[in-house]
Amino acid sequence: MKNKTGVFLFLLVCILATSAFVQNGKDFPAFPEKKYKGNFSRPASVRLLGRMLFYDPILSADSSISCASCHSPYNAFAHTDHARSHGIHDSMGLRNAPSLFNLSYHPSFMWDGAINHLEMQSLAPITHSGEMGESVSHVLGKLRRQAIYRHLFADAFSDTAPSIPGMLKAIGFFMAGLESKSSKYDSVAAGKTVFTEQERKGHLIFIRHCASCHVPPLFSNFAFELNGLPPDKLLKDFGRMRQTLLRSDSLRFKVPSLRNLDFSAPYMHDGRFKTLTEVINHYNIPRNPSDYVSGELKRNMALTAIQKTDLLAFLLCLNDRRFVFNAAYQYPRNELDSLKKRLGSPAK
Amino acid sequence: MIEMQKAKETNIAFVFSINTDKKDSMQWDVLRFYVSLVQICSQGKIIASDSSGYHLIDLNDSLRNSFTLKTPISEAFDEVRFCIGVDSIASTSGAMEGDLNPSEHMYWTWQSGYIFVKMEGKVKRNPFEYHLGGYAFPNKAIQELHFDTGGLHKLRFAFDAHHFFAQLPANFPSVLMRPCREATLLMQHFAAAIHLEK
Repeated sequence: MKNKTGVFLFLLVCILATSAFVQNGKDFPAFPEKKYKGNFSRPASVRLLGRMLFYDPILSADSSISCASCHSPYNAFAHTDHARSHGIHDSMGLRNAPSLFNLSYHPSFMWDGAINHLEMQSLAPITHSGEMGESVSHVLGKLRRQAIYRHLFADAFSDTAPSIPGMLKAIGFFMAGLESKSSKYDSVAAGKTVFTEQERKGHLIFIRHCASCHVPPLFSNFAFELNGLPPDKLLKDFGRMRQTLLRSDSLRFKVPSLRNLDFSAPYMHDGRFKTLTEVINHYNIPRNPSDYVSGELKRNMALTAIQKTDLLAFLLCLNDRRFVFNAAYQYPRNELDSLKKRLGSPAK
Repeated sequence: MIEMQKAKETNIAFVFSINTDKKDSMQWDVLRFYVSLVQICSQGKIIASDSSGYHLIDLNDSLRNSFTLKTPISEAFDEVRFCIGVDSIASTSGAMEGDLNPSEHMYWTWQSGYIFVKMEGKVKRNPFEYHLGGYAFPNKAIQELHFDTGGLHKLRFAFDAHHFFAQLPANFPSVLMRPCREATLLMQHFAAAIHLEK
C-alpha cells in the first residue's frame, strides 16, 4: 500500500512537472528556423555595403530619400509621426512604413505580401514613382561612378564592379541582420527575469485574445488577416487582393509583429491609430458574426479598463531598447570616415 | 520579319524571329521573353537538359534573339522541349545574375516574379502593352512547348504575330500588367503562336 502511494505521488509529480513544462514551452516558444540566411564568403563586407546603401539617398532619383528616411533606426526602422510613407517630391505613399526587424523569418514582405524574397524587397521602393522614383540602370550608373562603392562592392563580392544583384543582396543581408531579441519578454522567456503582476495578467490576456495571429516569439503568424478596419475612401486600399485579385483576399493585410510598438507609432497598415490605446479599443469593439473580420476577432474580447491596461503593460514588455539603440545598425559614420581616409577623399 | 542572327553551328542553336503579315500593319516596340528549362530528347527520353539556363530573347535586338546550348550533344535527337517563362524556384530565389538580373527590366517589383513575355506596340494603329507572367497559383502562366526537330541542329522558331492577335477575343484589354487570368490566357496564345520552321 505504501509502495503504491509512493508510485502514485511520483507519477503525479511527473505529470505536473511535464504539464508545467509544456505550458511554459507553449507560452514562450522558441524562435523558428530562419527563412533567409544569406550565404556569402565575406558576410561582414556584404553587411557593411548593405548598411551604407540603406542610409544613402543615392538610391533615390533626386538623391533626397534613403531607405532610412522611412525606416529610422530610432523608430525600430519604421517612420514615426507619419501615417504613411513619404517619397521624393513630397509624395505620399499608400501605406504606413512597417518596422524592420527579424525579417529573416518572414516568408513574404510588404503589407500585402507583394515581395517574395528579402533580397528583392528593396527593389520595390527604389523603383516606385511615389517613393524613391529611381530606375535600376540609373542607380547602377551612380554607384559605379563612386569610388567608395567600387571599393565596397569589390570587397564584398570578390573584386566585382557594382551590380544590381549585388546591391539587392547587400541591402537584403543588412536588413536580415536587424534582430530584435532582447526585450523584457525575451528575458522572461529565458528565465532571467519575471513579469510584474500586471504584465503577467496582460500576458494571459494576450495569449487568450491575441496570440493566435500575433504568434510569439515573432509576434506574427505572417498571414493576411481581416483587421476590421473599413477602407479609406480616398486610398481605396484593399490589401492582399491587390496581389491575388481574389475577392476573398479583400481587406486582408499582413499581421505585423508587436515588438517595439513603443517606438513605431502610428499603427495599422494606413497608420490611422496614433496610440496603442486606440488599437486595443478597436479590437475590443463587440463584433457581430457577420462582421468582416478574421475568425478570432469575432470573439468578443470585452476587456475592462483594467484589463486593457494590463494588456498594454505586457505589450510594452516587447520593446527592445538594445535593438533600437544598437550602434551596429545605425548610420555607419565611423566606417564611412575611415573608408574615405583610406581612399584618399575628404571625410564629411 | 525581324532579321535573324546566325547562331554558332557547333552546338544546338535556338534562333527566334517574328512573322508578321504586312496587312496587319503591326508595330513592335518591345518583344522580349524568357526561354528556360531546355530539354533535348530522343524517342521520348531526355538525353540532355539545360536546367539552369534562362535565356532572355529580344526580337528587337539581333544580338539577343538566339542562344546556343553550352553542352554539345553527341547523340541523335528528335525532340526539343522548353518553357516560355521562369519557374517558381527561380522566381523566389532572390537577386539573380545573368539574364535574370533585375536590371533587364523583366522583374515585377511590386508583384514579385519575372515578366515572362513583354510585348508593346501597335496593331492596326491600336496600342497594346502586355507584360505577362505569374509563377504562382491561381495565375501560374509558364508554358511548356515541345517540337519534333526532324534532325535539325539549328532550330529556327518563329512567333506568328498574326495568329496571336487572331486568337484574342473581341474587346480584350489592350493593357495587362500583372499576373491574372487574362495574362495566363495570353501566355497560352503566345506559346501556341510559336512554331518550328523546317
